[in-house]
Amino acid sequence: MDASKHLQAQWFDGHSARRTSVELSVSDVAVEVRAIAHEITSAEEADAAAAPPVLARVPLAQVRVSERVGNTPYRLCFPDGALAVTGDHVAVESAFHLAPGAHWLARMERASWFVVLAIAGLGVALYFAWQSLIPKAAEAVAHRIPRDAEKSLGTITLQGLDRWLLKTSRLEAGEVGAVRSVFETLAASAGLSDTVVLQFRDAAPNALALPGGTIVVTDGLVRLFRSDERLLAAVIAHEMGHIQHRHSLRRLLEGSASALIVGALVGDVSGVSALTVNAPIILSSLHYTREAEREADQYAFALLRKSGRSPNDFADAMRRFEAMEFCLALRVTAHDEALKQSGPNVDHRDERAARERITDSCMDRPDKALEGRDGELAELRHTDRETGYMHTHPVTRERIAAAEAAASQ
Amino acid sequence: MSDVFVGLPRGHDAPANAAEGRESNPELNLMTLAPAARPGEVVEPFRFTGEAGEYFRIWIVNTFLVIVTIGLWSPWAKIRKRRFFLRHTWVAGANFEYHAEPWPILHGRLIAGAAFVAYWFTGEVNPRYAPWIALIVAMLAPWLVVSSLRFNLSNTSYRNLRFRFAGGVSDGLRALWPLPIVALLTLAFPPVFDPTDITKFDWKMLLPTLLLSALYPYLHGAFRLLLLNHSRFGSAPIACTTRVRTFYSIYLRGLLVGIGLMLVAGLLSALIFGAIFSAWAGKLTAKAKWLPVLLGLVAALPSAFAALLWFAFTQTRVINATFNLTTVSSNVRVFCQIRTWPMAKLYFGNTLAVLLSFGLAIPWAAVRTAKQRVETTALAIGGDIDDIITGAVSPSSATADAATEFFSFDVAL
Repeated sequence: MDASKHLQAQWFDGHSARRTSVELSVSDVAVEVRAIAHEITSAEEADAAAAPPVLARVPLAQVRVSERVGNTPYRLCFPDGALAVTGDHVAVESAFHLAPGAHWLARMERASWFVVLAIAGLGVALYFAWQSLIPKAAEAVAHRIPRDAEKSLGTITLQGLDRWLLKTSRLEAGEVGAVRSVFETLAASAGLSDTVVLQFRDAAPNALALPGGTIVVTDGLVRLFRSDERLLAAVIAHEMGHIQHRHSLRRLLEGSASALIVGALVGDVSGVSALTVNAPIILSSLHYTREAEREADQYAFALLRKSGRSPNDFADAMRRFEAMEFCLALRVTAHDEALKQSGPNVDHRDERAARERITDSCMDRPDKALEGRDGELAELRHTDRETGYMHTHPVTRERIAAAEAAASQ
Repeated sequence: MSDVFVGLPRGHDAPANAAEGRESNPELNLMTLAPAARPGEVVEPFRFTGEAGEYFRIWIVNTFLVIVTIGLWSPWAKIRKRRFFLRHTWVAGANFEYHAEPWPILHGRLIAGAAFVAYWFTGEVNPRYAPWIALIVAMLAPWLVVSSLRFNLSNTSYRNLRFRFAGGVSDGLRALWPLPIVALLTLAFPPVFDPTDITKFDWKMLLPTLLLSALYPYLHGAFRLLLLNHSRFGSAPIACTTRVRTFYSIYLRGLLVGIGLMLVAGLLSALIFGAIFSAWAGKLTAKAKWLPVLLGLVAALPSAFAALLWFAFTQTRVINATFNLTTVSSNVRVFCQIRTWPMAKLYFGNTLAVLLSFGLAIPWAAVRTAKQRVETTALAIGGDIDDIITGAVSPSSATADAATEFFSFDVAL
């Protein structure tokens, strides 16, 4: 018995909550558990100490040693359901012939090189998931969902937009007919004639692709482009790209996937502000919408070429858009300064009328407002580029460059 | 760690162990807790001996494995992390243990995940069906909650005796009955709001929200009492005499505090935001790319702190109100002095650290939160601890255990 190793532990028999301090004698073949003498506080302490009661004696192989988790104590489970708990890791590992962290997981957690690897690996894995895995998986899933399933979402979205933002179109029959014929030619050469539907609404210059295949063209867009069918075709082709690539569905899928991952990471700790959860989700979904715009642009370049047009048309359309945006930016700030000078008693109805006048002028002759203001323009473009990560669309200059590159191929 | 274990005593004191000997938090301790003890009672404070660096290794390795296995490792990770927290929680010379097997957890998570995907997809693609699915979930809720409590309690032990949840689906129904009613009301009066035509506004659409707000204190209270009144430690019953009306008084005070905090924080945020953006953001953004995001975060800080303070206010009051009236086997009283201000400061520090470290401070935040919560709790034991708790014997019904194993699975995601 001299070869056996000794270690102290707390003993719980599994039938009651009583705790007994014990000493385990572990030989190569058996484990013996004895209560520690000074625990016995009776008058016969001396006698008892001479022969402390044996609580258990079992073959070594029948004692199961729990896996080690950090510095938490070991749990030695006996076949009859009794338990010994001890924080003496060294003694347990030597008595039961365990390498420190015999379990592969514990070994990984103890190895500093693996911890560093896991930090790097986690970073790489998250980056990979964000850049490639999530978008690709969303794409694969979106294309397996029938278009009809999307249609009701499109209908509900349009109903909401009609209520909030869009008004009935006031275009003349001639204008409508021109856009429609451009639309139908493009749809035919894209092979989307059965999928896409054209709708007109009155709103600021824009075009929308709704889930299910509805494309909305606004009166403002027709006006900004002065019914130039080259520019209208470019924007409609871009919207068809959104429909073809199922972007609205993919954005839903990508958004949920990133929310799930961030939730899994942060879900560990309670009482962390919603800020922590939402900031990464918002920034990553903005990245995904920009990627979708780029993809729709590429689709538009190919479609324009296929139907005998040029990606340069798209560049021109973007230039017109940019001119309008910058015109608005410059005129609105100029207008604000005029307001400040006119004192605090500003008539707000007048302000609205003034804003409408600015919008009108920027829609009709956007280039005129920008003449001779190259310095301010350069500054606006620079700000746009630097804060691009916060935008839903790629920077306009980048899109124009991409269109020109596609045209020169 | 937002889970059912808030309802369980946890803590530490392990005289004969090598893990022993670490300093406990001096701010929260015996001194503040002792006066609550009655003559003849021994006070045993809970202690938490885990450390941030130790948990970081466990967390990073298991999180890495969860991500590279697309989530399939999550049950194993959950078990390992929970074992870290429970084994480091000591009271009266013994620690806790988590016994769950990974496969039932995986099984439960796959079912819950599939249900969630179906719900999410239907809700997003055709919002018309969403309230119907919400109704189904609300009707299943009592069964889901009871199964989950059963699983988690029967897989937790202290002094080699398992806890047990003895409540049934009918008890779950008694606590959660408002949920299907709210879901039905949402179906009857769907929330459709037309901001352009205020005359068409139908007040009835507010009914579901109003009912849910009015019953929320009841729901929270009844859920917590469901846990505390139907649990057993071995064969010893755990009981809590807190009344549901206490939750109403907590939430009413919370409402007033919340309104005050919102006003102050909103004003502060608006001031900071306005000052930053009107004065110099326009020029600075052109030079430093990430400045707008940083400035936005700074401006959002007062609101974030106010939200955390409000959360801590209601959370600490609910914990104190329930734990301080909880007994185990009639001879052991739980008491708890968790305080609002330290918790709010802790949560705010956690938020900042997690944000600024891009998530790497999550384990540090989790460990210090656990320490603060565990070490503000103690047991008052009338008599010798071993003799008292010896009354709690292990139930020897193997069939009951088997049935529990079969019908229960973990649904907590």
